[in-house]
Amino acid sequence: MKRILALIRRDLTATGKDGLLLYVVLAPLLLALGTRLFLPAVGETSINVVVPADMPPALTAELKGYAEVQTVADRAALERRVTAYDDAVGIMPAPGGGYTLVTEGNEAPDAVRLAQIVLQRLASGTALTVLTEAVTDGQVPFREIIGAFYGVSILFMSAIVMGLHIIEDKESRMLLALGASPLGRREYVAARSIMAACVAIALTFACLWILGLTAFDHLQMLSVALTTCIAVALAGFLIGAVSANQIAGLASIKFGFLLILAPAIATLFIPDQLRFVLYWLPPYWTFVSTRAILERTASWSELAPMLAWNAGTAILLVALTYRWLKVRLDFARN
Amino acid sequence: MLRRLWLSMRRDNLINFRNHYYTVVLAVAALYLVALMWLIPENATVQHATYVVDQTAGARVAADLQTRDTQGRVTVLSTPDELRTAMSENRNSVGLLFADGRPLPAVTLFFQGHENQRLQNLLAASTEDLLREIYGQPWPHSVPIAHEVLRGAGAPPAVPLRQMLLPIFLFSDPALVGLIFIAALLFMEKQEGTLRAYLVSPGRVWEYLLSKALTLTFLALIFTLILVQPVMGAGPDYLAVLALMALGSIFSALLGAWAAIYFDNLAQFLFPAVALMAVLTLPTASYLAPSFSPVWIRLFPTYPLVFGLREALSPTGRPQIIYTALATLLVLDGLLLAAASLSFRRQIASS
Repeated sequence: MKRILALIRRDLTATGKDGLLLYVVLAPLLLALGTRLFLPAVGETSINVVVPADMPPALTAELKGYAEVQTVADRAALERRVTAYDDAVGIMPAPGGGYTLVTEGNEAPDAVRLAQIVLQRLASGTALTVLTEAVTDGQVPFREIIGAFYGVSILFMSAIVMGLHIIEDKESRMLLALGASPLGRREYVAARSIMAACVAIALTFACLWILGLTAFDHLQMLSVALTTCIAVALAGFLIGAVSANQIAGLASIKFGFLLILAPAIATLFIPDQLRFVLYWLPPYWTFVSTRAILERTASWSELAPMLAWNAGTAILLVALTYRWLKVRLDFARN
Repeated sequence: MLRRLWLSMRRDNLINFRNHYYTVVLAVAALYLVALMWLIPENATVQHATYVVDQTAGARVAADLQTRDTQGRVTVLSTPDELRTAMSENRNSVGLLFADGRPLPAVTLFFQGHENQRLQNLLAASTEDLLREIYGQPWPHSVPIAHEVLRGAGAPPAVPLRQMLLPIFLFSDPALVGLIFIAALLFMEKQEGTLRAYLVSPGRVWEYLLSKALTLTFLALIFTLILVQPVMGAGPDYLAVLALMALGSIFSALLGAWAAIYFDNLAQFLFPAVALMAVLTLPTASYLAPSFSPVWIRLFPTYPLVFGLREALSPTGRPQIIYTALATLLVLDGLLLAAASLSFRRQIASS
């Protein structure tokens, strides 16, 4: 245990000296904060409307109650704006009264229809008695999915840090030196894995809280994080083992991270009957279990099989790659 | 100068090859191809569900809504509590409660709570329009509204999901990943002292940076061709696609080179670089939701790139989108090359 702690202390000192720990911790937190600020804006998009400067100001003001209104100088500017990348509907006052809607032709049908309805309502006033009621806490609907992506990404990002440390150990020949020390292979694996796991778990919870996701079962989330640590440690050692230097390490990280994020992205598109192709990937189980916990749809009895699959597939992959890793890392013969 | 650039590129290309960058590019392209061709469905839309409780005499509104609903988005429920429960379980939904009233039924609109006043007013307006149609109560002061379509008539043909997602795949991987890869090359050469040696050679700093950016661009172009041809066939304007990808890749590589100056090693740079990449991919939100286009997102240099790729891959006769994107990226690439070269030289001289 002392030797493990000594290696961890050495890593902490090294990462603290060059500020790496600061970047590793700050970057995800800032990203989560930015996401929290950005998400509501996307969830509140309405229609975009463009009007010329000679549109009656009262009408323009009323339109702002229904749409994002942009005022342009003249017809030519309106046409340029309408033909821009996004969906925007131009409204020109017609000479004989009424209006002309100007569109490019590729807008969503709803955008045009809604513009027509709004103009009719503004002209006629409303005869409708309308009450409104908010049913839930007002958070955007896809926040839990984004939280699950953060969970998977941050847990496995610690594998990247671990992998880079191992590559550094290889490049500086510290691995060979460690082989001559009392430090055993298991102790080296434990030392590398423990610090990565602690940072990953702490960051995961911090990012979820920053995203505003606090009302979930923290014990369930901790169990998913701990189960995922097996796959995280394996990923870190694989990155370190296949890469002779940091450049090759980056190539491994790029491919490896795709294998980590792809199952999560795939669950959004792949039909349910094809999901079995992802079962062998531990990140898939991390994502689905994290999402279920954040959406508060997972009881312990439903979560247990996912945890079992997560741990089981990770252990199987460790078993399949153990001999090869032992040779590639080539240290600590005790 | 060109010979020096060419020799630098050959050397950098060899480094990329020996460090398995080619292998990874081919493997990732293959993975993406499998996903696009066989795993991603033909179409998938994210639609709001609508829960309806109709307490009017005869329940005409609910019956009419169900008749119009061809996509299974409308569910009729019996009580407001059922509606609230259903909406709590499906956060991507709205609710409508109709009760008897004159001249039109009274309506209670149920929202999740995050919808702003504009969205609520839009739903109220469209609900009123629907009720007027059902109850034969036209708008009392109806105004004539003509519709002029600037480019062609009729709705654009539906684009398969895989073709719609292709610009995002191209944009987020080969176009942006050069940001990190170039930093890895630079840190390695800084560590080995190659950089200092280069500066006493006749080679210019901008040649040094540009050669690295161009070799990574070559990888990006290989990736693009592997992915685009099977998915899109002969439809795209390949020259425009390759030009956009080249300039986009050079942009991200030079941006990565410039940003890397302020860090000591790859491990330090990696996480801020990932955060920077995440920020640069924000315009994909506008791509996926065309009505989301605030002014600040249109200022991102990657905004014209993603829409330029869309136009190049599925031409709709608007080449100005491509030209705008190319011009923007060309200017930015020139500015970045100058800025990075200057900062690089200063940093090496001071260290």
